[in-house]
Amino acid sequence: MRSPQSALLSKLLVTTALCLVAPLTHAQDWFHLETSSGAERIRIAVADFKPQSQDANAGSYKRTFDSTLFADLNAAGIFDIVSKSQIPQSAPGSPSEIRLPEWSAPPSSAAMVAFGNLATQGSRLVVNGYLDDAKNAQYPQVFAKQYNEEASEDQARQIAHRFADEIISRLGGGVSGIAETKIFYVRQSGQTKEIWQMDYDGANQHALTHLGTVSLSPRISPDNSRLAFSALGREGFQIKVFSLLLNRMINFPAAGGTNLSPAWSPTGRQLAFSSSRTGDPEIWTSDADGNIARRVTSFRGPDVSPVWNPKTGAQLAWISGRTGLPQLYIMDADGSGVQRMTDGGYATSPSWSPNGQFLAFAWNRKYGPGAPGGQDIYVMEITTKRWIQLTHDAGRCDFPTWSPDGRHIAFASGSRIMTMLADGTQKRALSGSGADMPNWSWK
Amino acid sequence: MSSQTHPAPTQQPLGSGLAGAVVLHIAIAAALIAITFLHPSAKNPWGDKQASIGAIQASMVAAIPLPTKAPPTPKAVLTSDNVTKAPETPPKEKTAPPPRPEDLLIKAKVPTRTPPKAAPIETAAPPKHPQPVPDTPKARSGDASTQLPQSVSQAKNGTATVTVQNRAFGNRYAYYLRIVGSTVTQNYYTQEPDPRASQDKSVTLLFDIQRDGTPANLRIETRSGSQSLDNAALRAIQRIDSFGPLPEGDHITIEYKFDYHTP
Amino acid sequence: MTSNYKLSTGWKVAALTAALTLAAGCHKKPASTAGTGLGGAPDSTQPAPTASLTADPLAIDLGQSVVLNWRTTNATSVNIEGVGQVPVNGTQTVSPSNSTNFHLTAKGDGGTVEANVRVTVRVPQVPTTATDPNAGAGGDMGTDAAFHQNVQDIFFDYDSFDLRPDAQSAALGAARYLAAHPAIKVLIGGYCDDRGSAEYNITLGENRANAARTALISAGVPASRVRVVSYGKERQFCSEENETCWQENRRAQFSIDR
Repeated sequence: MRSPQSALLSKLLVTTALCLVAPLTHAQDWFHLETSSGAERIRIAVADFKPQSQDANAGSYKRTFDSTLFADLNAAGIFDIVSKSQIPQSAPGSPSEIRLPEWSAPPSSAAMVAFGNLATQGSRLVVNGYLDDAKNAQYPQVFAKQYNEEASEDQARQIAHRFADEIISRLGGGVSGIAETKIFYVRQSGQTKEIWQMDYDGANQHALTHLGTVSLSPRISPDNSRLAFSALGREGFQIKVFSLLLNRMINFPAAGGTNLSPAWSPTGRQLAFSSSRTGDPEIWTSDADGNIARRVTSFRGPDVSPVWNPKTGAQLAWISGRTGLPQLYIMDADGSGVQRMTDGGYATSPSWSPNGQFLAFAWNRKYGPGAPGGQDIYVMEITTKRWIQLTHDAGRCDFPTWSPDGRHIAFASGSRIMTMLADGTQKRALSGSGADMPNWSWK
Repeated sequence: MSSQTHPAPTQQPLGSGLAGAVVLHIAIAAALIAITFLHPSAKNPWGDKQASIGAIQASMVAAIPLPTKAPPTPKAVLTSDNVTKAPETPPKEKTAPPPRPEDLLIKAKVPTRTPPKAAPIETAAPPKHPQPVPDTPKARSGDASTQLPQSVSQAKNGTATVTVQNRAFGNRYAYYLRIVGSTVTQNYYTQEPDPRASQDKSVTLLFDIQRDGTPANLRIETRSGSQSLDNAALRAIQRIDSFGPLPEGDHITIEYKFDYHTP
Repeated sequence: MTSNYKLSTGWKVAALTAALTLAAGCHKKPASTAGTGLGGAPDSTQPAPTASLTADPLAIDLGQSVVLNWRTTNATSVNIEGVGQVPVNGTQTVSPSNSTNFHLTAKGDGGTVEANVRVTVRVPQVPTTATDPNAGAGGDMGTDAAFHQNVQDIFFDYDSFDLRPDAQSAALGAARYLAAHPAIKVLIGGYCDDRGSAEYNITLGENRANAARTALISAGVPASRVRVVSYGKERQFCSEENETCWQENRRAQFSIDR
């Protein structure tokens, strides 16, 4: 799927490319035009929701809901959000209470307005959310939704996520929002590393595994039911699978040698991983239960960190040390058509964009003994091998992972998990220190 | 006297000989350095900084036929942290999707399909919450008119007008039309049409948007006379996978007109 | 080389000085047996051929077979010594009766390139001559101190899993001790310094441990007595950010596998 963000990104690639072509007089104009036209975002205003019940909890839920909704739309990457200081002071609770001309006029100048009301009814939290087209006097309403859940702070947040995703989906060219997605990651505590989970905005961080060893490389299955990772045992690193439905480990056969960095195919029926069961670490594939293992690469040197093309499921990108320092490669899933993507330096941790067009990866282009280099996040357009650098002087960055809408990339920087838009803007931290190796859920 | 003049002539040749030697030494040294860079050997020790540059160079140039990117100088590898390098090749057609069978299948399908003459969608249901506001002031970035079923957007070298043939749909879901307009503009690459051949020409395309938001039945209604302008407009639509599900109805037909003019 | 030797004889003390020497002249060895056309003069008309040759496994017991796997590009004729003319890409199973250097020559319009791989064939006799005074009964496990004195860790260059020359003599010494203590099983841990990616370093550590294992087996230690675990950069011996410390961490560590 070609999301607007990726269109923006490829335009950014082409325009940066053009800007660097030496004697091109119009290059600067193009740069301005293309980036600004791509970034022409829908101006949206978010009203504070109107409380319809008087108890103390409702006020707290309302504050949680309002701030979550605003943050979700702000983070979505497709809106020009009206700041709270510029919106009308009224808090319309329903379509009959809103005066759209107030919202479409300056300073708010909104094209779209999200508003609604919120109430506790017994132990339930009921939210009515509306989205209006402020420019359409005759038929303003885009949609109306009612949410009715067990009253709690967490549910207030989840309802805000669902309402935000509904708005993003309606206005974002059919690409689903990510406010309900999760990020899985590794959290270090002393000598042990366990697999943790959090919401996409960093809320709700909690541990999934309690194995008391070093667990690495969490990879969530496309249906969000299983989490594959590798854990250090007596026989070295082996692939393990945790069921999110059963909330416990499920069986996965151990093999000889070191087995690590599992990756789910987009159908969820296959895994690719690195295994040294025959000596040299190579890329292997198996079915989702670890059976029918098949070797894909055969070349002396480390092969690791495979990732499927999520659009086709027919290609793998991975990291190979066959020529010395690790480089980024792609190949067909049967091992043919090997293509080297990076031209030097130290490249690791590929993540394939949901539309299949881009690879995000960590790259230290100046890596070498004595050469002080920074490891940063890069995005490469696969067909042209053109790339752009997304992080600068941010310390050692690694493990980029695409959000399912292709508009965001989460990554590890220092020992924190960060997120940014796929063009490198709007960076912010999601976790405190001790967190590493994020993996964004598929939906 | 002679003792004064004598040293001078001997000093002269000595001096020029020295200068010549220095020049020669520099030339040889330069040649050696050049050879080191041009013929990096796998035997080069990595501990040496210069040699490691050479080693990276070697893999850049010779390992795989990469498209020319940054000029293959040591500088490209070792400097300019902040400048993002990019290819020197002229901008190719940007978004040719990877030629995978399923993609080709979808593309091949489009021209052969006959436009489904499905019944136009029913007139939009009356709004649930009619607004008795008589006159809506235009928002800052307002359209030419919210009452016309079209969306106009300005590009650097022209104007794109998106019109929906179903007027009721256009009035009821003006926001959807604006999304269609901005999506098309985002995927239209202004550098594609040849400026001289396209000046003051316009092309009109027709396509359907299906229930799930995917474009179909793309065809040219009126050619512009400029092949590059026609192609740029066609490609803009072909790049789009989806506009998002229709808010209502089975499909809509969109007229997309691009007027090329540079100030 | 003298510094390397010191390293292997008394690593705890010597590692510091050795590492300093290494920092000054750390050599990057070719990480692969693959030959490529990189070294040759660039041919402007025809692309130079490239060739790679691998064997799996690299060491076998007498009578076992090994799979040769070769890939070439831009080659028109490919020959492997002892095998003969072969397709430009392919695999072949061979059963050499003694350790053999397989030598591939690929000829193309752009020149000629060679690739080599050595297959070690283990003679099935286990050296049983007890030269070590500590040799005792079959069940003697020795002490950890004696073990570490005789079976010393092997250190590696940056991003390399190739054995340095001194590692061979260290392996011979280890094999002697292990032959004298047949009850001891060995665990080889593969370690990396903390630069670079966690996942890649685990595979690099695996290759380091395997290189050490191959050296032990070549020196006569039965494969069944050697177990390998890679820790990558998850367990560090030293946590400072300097070459001395990095060198400390780049190793194959031997311990008694209990």
